[in-house]
Amino acid sequence: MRIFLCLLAMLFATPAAAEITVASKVFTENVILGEMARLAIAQGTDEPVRHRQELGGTRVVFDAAIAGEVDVYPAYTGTLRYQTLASERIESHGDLVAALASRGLRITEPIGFSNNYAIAMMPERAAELGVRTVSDLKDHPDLIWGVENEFLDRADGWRALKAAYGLPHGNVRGLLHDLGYRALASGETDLIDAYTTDPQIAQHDLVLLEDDLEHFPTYDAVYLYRDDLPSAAVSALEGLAGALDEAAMQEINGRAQFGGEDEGVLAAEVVSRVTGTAVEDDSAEAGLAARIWARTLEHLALVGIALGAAILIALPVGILAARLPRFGNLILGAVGILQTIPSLALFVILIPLLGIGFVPTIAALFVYSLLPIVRNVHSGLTNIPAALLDSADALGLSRRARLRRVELPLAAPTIMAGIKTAAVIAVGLATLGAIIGAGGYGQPILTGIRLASTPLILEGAIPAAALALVIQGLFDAAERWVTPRGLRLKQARS
Amino acid sequence: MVERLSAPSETRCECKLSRRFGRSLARLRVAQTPGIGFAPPVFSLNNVSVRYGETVALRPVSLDVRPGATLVLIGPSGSGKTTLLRVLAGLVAPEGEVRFDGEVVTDWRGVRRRLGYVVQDGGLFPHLTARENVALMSHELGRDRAETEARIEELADLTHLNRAQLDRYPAELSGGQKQRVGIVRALMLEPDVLLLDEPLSALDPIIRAELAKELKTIIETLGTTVVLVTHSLSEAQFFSDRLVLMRGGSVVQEGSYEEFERAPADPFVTQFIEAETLL
Repeated sequence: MRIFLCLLAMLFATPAAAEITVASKVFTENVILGEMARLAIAQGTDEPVRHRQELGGTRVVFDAAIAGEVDVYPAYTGTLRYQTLASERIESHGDLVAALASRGLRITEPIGFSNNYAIAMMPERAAELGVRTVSDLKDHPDLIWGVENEFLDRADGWRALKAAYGLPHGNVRGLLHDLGYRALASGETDLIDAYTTDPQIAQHDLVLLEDDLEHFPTYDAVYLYRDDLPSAAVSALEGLAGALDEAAMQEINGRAQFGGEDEGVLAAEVVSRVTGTAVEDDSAEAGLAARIWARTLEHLALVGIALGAAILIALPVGILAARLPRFGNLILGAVGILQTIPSLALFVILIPLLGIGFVPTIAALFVYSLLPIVRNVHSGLTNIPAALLDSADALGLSRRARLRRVELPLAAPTIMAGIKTAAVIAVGLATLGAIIGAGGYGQPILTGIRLASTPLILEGAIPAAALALVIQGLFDAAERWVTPRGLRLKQARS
Repeated sequence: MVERLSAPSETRCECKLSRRFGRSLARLRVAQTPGIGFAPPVFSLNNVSVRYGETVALRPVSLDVRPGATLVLIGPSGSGKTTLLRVLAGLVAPEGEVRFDGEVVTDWRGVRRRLGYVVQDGGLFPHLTARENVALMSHELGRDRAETEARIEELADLTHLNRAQLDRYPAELSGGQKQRVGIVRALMLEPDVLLLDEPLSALDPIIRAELAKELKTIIETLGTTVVLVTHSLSEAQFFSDRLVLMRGGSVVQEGSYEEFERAPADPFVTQFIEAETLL
């Protein structure tokens, strides 16, 4: 209980709203642009500012900005027009600004480069086939495409491209963006969708086919910010206009992705150059032990609060379900259905309702903890031999006394086993919380996947596995402790 | 049945234990007072039947349970004898009228506390020691701890349980010991009626005979009204001369063993006696 209260105190001790929050999406270029925004605001204003790196995908950061949990994030005009606000069929830049304004959002002048879609081919292959433009592809119907999953469904994506050019190709595979380059290099695909600032383009000397029908829109990089952002911070962001052209961005992306250079240091370099004053990346990484410790606390807080709340709710619900068979079936069915919601979907569904970070993650973990506990409370209580309940009734025990003195002690080992299951599941699921900015062990795993860094992935995965084992051990001990001695004797004998 | 309480058992009633049971003793004395005749029944069933959905477990039965006497419900498996006992214990809601102490029962909880109920293996709670099992209800009612302890000691003496056994868990006790603990638990709150469901059936023959004798002594000592369920004719005969023979949810004949032999109400009665005496 005391631990629980400590965790609760920690939760509410996190700094309050006055801070400016910059967020970034889960890819390197966006993280660097986020760092640039953080450093520029820190240098140009007195406001405290933090950067929630790799907060989530476009949907997560956009919703978080509307909800006021995020003040600034690096966005692309094309993404806003054709993905985020696609249903509004925005015709011009002016319409986009108006559509954002109606949501309390604004965008800065372009940062100076656009990160467009382009169709890429290996140079040898392009030369061999004599392909130079997208239209040229019509003469080669056997070519294999490998495109990012998101590109398959976008308003300006595969289907639209195919229709616009009348492409004959039928062999299209969905891939992770970074894997597309590997597939291209190994000859498994002939064509991929590239982003024009991807460093792999220069690395492999790829040919970008000319978009001769001008199908792809422009994806100018801008900062999206809330209209209540202090004006000094807005000026700092506007000061970054024109800071980077495509070549510069591609080079910096390459240094981060292939050279292993720190995003903060790279961002500081750009901001120093643009503002003419030396800016240092002050977000020096804490040591490994301190990092793991901080994440352990975050992770424990997530699991502890969610599990505590689940126990408080699931115990009485389970008791009620055991008492009233019809209601019991209904309840077990309902929590069973909740359990089948895919966890990633639940995390994302909860954002509009609860925002990002701790609270929705706890809510999701709470939901998944309900079933094992309710089910075990129910089965623990309904499996008590009828003769014992008769004895209790014949003694004259009231329903409440029977529950407290006889039923709960007899069901205790089963109930504890349910809580243990819920706890172990929650420790594993909590790593997904990093996707919506809850921190914990999922954070280094997420970064590790982005940078293809196995050590970083292990920095999250090993403690997560260890914590699951520790929790399992603790609950095994607790299970023995709550099992009445008389029941242990019986188990030993039978 | 009052006459059965012979002089020696009355003398035994003068022990220190019996003073605590003034209530049941008083009733006994009333019952024994010449001229009054039959005291009013403790339980009185009027057309009581039990049905589980489509299945009829007990056909309409009318029956009196007289104070201070032992009534035995006997019959083969499925005859409805246990169902009838469960009706008396308030564990089954029957159709028809059940009177306790002359009044129609509406609130069973009040009645249950005046009953003691013992099932085949004692029905002890496995998570509690024998002592905790026995004291459970007294503690729940907030009775004085010291008095409760004293009562446990007395009843333990009466049932030949020693202190070490009282502090063991059911899993550590033999069948006979568990049954004794079950009896002590049923007697803790000085019940008006003791309901025993096959109390000896699960025991070895020697222990069974031993416990049967002790149980009879206890019943006579306390002068408690008893309803006992058994499938054994010899056991029934040993405990009482008022037997109720049941079959298929109905009462076939009520009376003593001798009456069953002399004037069977139904060929089944003779059949049952012959089967019992053969084996």
